Amino acid sequence: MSRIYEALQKAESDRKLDRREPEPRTPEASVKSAIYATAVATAEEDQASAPAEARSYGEPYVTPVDPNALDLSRIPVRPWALSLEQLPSLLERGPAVEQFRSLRSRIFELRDISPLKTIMVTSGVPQEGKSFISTNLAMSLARHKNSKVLLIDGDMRRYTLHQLLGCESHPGLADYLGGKTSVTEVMQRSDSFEGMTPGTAAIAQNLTFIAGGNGGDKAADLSGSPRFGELIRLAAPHFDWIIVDSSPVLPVSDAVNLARSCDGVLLVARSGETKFPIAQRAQSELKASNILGFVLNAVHEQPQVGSYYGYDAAKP
Amino acid sequence: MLGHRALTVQDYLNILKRRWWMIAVPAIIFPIVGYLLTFLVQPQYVSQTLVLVEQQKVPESYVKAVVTEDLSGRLASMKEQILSRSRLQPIIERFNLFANGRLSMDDRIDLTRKNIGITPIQSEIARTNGLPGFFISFKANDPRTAQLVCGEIQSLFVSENLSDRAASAAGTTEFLKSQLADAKAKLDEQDARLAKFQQTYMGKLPGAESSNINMLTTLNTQLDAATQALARMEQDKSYAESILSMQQAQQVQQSQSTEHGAVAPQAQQLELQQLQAQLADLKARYTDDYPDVVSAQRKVNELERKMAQAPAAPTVPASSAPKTTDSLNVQQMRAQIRAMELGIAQKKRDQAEVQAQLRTYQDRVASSPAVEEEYKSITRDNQTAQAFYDDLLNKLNQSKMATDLERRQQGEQFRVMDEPNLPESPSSPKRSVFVMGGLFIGLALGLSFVALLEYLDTAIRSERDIWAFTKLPTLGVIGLTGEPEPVVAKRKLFGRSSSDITAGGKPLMNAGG
Repeated sequence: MSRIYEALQKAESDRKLDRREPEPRTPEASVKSAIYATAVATAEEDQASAPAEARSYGEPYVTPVDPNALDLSRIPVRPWALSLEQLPSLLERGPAVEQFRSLRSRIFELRDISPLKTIMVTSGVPQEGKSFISTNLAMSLARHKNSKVLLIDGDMRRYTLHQLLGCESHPGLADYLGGKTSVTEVMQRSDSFEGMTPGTAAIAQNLTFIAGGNGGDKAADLSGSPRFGELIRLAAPHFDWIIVDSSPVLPVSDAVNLARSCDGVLLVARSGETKFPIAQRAQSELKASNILGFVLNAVHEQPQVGSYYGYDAAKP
Repeated sequence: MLGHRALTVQDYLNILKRRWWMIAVPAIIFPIVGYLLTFLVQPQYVSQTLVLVEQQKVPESYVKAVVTEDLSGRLASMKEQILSRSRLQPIIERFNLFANGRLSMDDRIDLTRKNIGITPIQSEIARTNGLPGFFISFKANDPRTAQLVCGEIQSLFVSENLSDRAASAAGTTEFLKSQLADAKAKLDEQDARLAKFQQTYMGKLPGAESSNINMLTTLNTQLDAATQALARMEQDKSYAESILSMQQAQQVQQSQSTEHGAVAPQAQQLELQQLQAQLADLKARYTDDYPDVVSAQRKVNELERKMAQAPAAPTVPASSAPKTTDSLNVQQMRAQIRAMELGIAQKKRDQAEVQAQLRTYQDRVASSPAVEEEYKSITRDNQTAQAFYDDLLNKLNQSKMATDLERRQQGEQFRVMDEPNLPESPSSPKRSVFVMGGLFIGLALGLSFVALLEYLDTAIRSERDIWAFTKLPTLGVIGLTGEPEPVVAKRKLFGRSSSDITAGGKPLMNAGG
């Protein structure tokens, strides 16, 4: 087990070194992903064998910041009900898949410029599609070469990601930030469920989720807690990507607090809904952070895309 | 996004695609509303008639038309007359025009006036004078009324023109007549003045000069003859006197032969008389230097001296008075002399008369130039008056002829080309105009509404918007639903409706906090 872990670590460091190389689909990479897949499978086995042990963590978890402190094998596995309708990036093909794929490519390009692992997704006002974007982006990233992705629901007031994933919302981030639980306790992974396609299964296996938890009125204080940064530092070595969904910037300050610990911020704008003054104010709120750019959500006018996929879909 | 950043054609197309129904709905509704409105608006029927203007039939060179004013001007004044209240009111009352509302008569007259149209024909063929004709039209709510009123107005025009022309011609004739009377009076006055002048200056008038000169010559001759006759008669008289005195002397000698010395003086006296007579005779024929005259003068002088020396004898007055003592001879002589004296007196009177006449004629001839000047001025006035009178007379004749022409309706007149038509369909409201207007208004309204909405809408819709307002790159563009069914996406012609449906079907899609 420890050998496998060492192999994983080695692979991770190798990738960091090879970051400048544009073409990931080399024979070498495929070998690596094979190893990765094996490692995940093994971890799953281990996890399944010791669930009771993982649940025994009851007392507040004090952090020694040590990469080895986070034992991925302890992450509980829970039943998820992924919905294809709400998560179009799970599909084999389709416009949404391609759209998230191109978003992913852009993020890869950005990573070539500066180190980028933790990405926060936010927007100016509610109801612009932050959760949709963040979940689908996380899945899209997870699909790519079996990258390991951590998805955190940073919105402790109106946590909704668990609904999309169809899983429990407790314990969540609020519990961790409040010092009630340990890192591994708030994390959860997907159990296999009925109707799971092989693609979905692969994605689900690469995805680790931290639910929002009920922060309530304390959400602002919790978001200012240094434990969040700690969490990121703890998790960072074990994951390729950490996607943080957060509350909107303008009504509450949670997102701004969380953004300090993140490498980059993605702003979501809903086409036809988001007013440009809102977008500008959200931008100015996040001045201190590294704004990667906008994701334009719910666009009506996409004339060429439709016809292209129409052609593609017509093929047997 | 209108007005917040520069838009490209694609943006406009997107706006159109997004809001086409906002333009389309009013563009469909308003024409329908316009079409329905045409049923509410009261229909208007227009009846029209064409009146042609015919030139006079007799050539202008034969009879000059009295009315030469341009037709357009005449038409304008005629229109004013016909559209006057007094003309229109009976028509309005007869046809009960515009009686639906509670309009005052003034308003009804105004409305009627507005509905009457008079348009001259603009002919391509240039005519020397005036227009070839004009249209009369009337607009009313029902076709029959329109036709009737149009006919009424047309007949008003025709009769007005006729009476106008006749009145004009008659007026001209009347005027000329009165002028002619004036001119005649003036001419008569001039004639009277001329006659009086001629009377006053009879014989002094320019034409009498030659006769005056002739008369003067004749009178001169007469005067000469009279003077000569007078001289001869005086000579005869003196001769007769001398003979008488001789005879008296002889008688005295005979009677005094008895007396002494008495003869001598008487003889001397007689001699003297003889000598004197001789001298006078000589003097009459010769000058004083002639020797016979000189000698006769000397003899007379000597005799006179002798007689002066001799004592003055008691002289017998040698009067011509007949004396009883005189002999018959003497008496005869005396009678003869007496007759001569009478003749001389007569001649002298004649001479004076002739001289007086002569003076008169001289006077006439002398004053002739002054008279001539005045005469000329008078005759000139007379001629002017005469010419004026003739001219007027000529004009009057022409005018009478023109009046006759008008009376016989041979002059310029209005001919009704088309009787007023009975309009079949209303001229207003025009359906097509209402529908087009509705379409236009609908489009304009829709476009302005869309423009307003676009201006108020500050929503971000595209990558370009994001770049324009935040200068941040757009990393991804996610479709509304992430539509998994490409066939549906292909079918999206107008994009909106189908995506709406799918969005409605999946409320959580693209949503979340």
